[in-house]
This record gives sequence, C-alpha cells and structure tokens, in this order.
Amino acid sequence: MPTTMFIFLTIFLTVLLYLISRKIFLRTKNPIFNPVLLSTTIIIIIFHYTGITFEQYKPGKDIMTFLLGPATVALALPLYLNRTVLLQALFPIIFGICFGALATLTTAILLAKLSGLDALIVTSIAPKSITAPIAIEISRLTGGDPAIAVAFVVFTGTFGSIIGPSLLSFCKITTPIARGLAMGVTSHGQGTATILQEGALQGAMAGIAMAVAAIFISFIAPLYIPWLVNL
Amino acid sequence: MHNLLKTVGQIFLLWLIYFISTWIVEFFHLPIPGSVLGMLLLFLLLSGGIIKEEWLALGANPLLKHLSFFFIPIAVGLMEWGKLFTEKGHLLFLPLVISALVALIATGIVVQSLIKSRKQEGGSN
Repeated sequence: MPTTMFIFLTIFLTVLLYLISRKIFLRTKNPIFNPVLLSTTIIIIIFHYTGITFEQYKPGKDIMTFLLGPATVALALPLYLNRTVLLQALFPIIFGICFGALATLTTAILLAKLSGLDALIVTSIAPKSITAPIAIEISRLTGGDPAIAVAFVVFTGTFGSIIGPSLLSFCKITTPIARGLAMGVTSHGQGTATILQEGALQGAMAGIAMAVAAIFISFIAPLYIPWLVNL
Repeated sequence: MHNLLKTVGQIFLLWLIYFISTWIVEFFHLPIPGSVLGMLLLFLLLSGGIIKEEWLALGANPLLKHLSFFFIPIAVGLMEWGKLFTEKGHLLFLPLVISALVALIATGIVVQSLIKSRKQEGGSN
C-alpha cells in the first residue's frame, strides 16, 4: 500500500502535467497536442523509468476520478441548452447520428476481428467513437478493458480532428449541420472542439451528436457488441 | 467564498443525481451505465422545469471544462498492456482509421441528403 505522501505526489504530478499540456494545446490548437495523449505518455514514461507500478498509482487514480460520474451527468446541460437547434431538424439529426454511430462501431469490430485481434481488444475497440466517460462504462459492461478503450477513444478523437474537416470538404459535405454532426459522431469532445472553430452551429451540432451517440450506443451495446464480437 | 460554496453545493447535486441513477441501474439490473441514465434524468428534469439551469451551471462548468482531466489517470492503466501494444499495435491501425473515415462520411452524407431533400419538399409546397 503506497503512503499518503506517495499518493499525494502522484496526484500532484498528474494535475501538473494536465495543466501544462492544456496550456500547450490551447496555445497551439493542434489536435496532436491533446492533453490526455501528452500527459498520459509522459506519466507512463516516468513510471517506466522509476519503476512505479499501476497498482501503486491506483489509490491516487481513484481519488482523481471520483468526480467523473457527476461530470458525465453534467453533459445533459449543453444538450439542454442546444435543444432548440435540435428541434429544428429532429429526424435528420437523430437518424444521422444513430446511423453513423452504428456504422462506425460495426466497421471497427468487423475489421478488428478480420485482423485477428483478441476478443478483449475487439470488444474494447467498439466504443472508440463514444465520449470517454461513457466509452469506459460501455467497455466495462461488455467485457472490454477501460484503459484500452480510452486509448482508442483518444486515438479516434485525435485522428478525426486532424483529418475530419478537410475530408468532409473533399466529400462535398458542406451543410454546417452535417459537418458538426459528423465530427461529433466520429471524434466526440475533441471533434466538437475542432469544428467549433468553424462556427457556433457546427459546434452545437457536434455536442448534440456526442451526447445522442453515447446514449444510443449505451442502450444497444450490451446485446449488440457481444453478438458481433462472437459472430 | 459564497461562489465556492455554491459551486460545491451544485457539484453535490450532480453527484446526487449520479448516485441515484447508479443505484437505480444496479437495483433493476439495467444494462446501461449509471452515468448515462443520470444524464437522461437530468435532461428530463431540466426540460420539465423541475431543475433550473442556473442551479447547476456554476458547478457543471468547471467539470465540463476539465472533463478530459479524468481520462488521464484511467489511460495510465495502458502501462499494464504495453506488451500487447508493441506486439499487435500495427494490427489496430487499419480498423481504427477506416472506421473513423466511415463515421465521418456516413454521418455527413446521410444528414446532408436528408436536410437537402426536406428543403426541396418544402420548396415545392
């Protein structure tokens, strides 16, 4: 069992790295410098060279993630504030989000299976386009691993944020609503931050897409993911 | 000081909704995350005017602003899977990249064509 001082130090290190990487990200606005990717990499490198194990980090981790549940509940607030935009084109928005979310989840599982990856990885890859707090829960409910799931979520968030806007333009997807939704469905919070730079409507749509996709996939995941993985 | 107390109180209210939702999910063996039920519950309470947005904004904003902080300690858990990633990392690339492209294009095209067809219908009326 790590000492109180040690727990305090691991928390201090995590918070410090988060604040520094957040500064770098806000200054560069480059998706590759996203705080989760940067901080996690540095922490793992430090732990690797100092011989600190994840077991020793766990008490600090539990304290730091205590507010993740309430923070996830708080996602209802931006959704509520954007409800009027949502009602403008309710059917195209909801249908588009569910279609896109289902298409990407299915493609990811089937391709991961074809690549010969283990069931644990295939299951953890499923929620990779869902916002991290809910992807973690989905991976727990379906027999995946939360840490692996977060890695895929961050990869997808970063990749989609880098390539998304230009790929959408290349495919002649120019409607602001469609661009916002596509970014939210693919790259959750990171995609929302990226497309917000194009305009407030796109940003609001991405936020809606992120929330609705998370709710929709949560409802179908416990049956659909194991079924597809074991197909 | 007054604002700090308010913020803490509002975060407590969010935590209470989370706590109740997690309890409901466990009690009824619902196959959905407690946090998702909590989010839906809060959305309904806001829409029904039972909870006012002002009662939560102060507590919710810092949590939402720093949401990504919470993923760092969880992602550090990856260090336990180092071997898996060095051995199989290259196999992950294709499924992740292609499924992301599918998400962007599928959502974008479906929404854009639905909106355009609706506008055309509206124009002919």
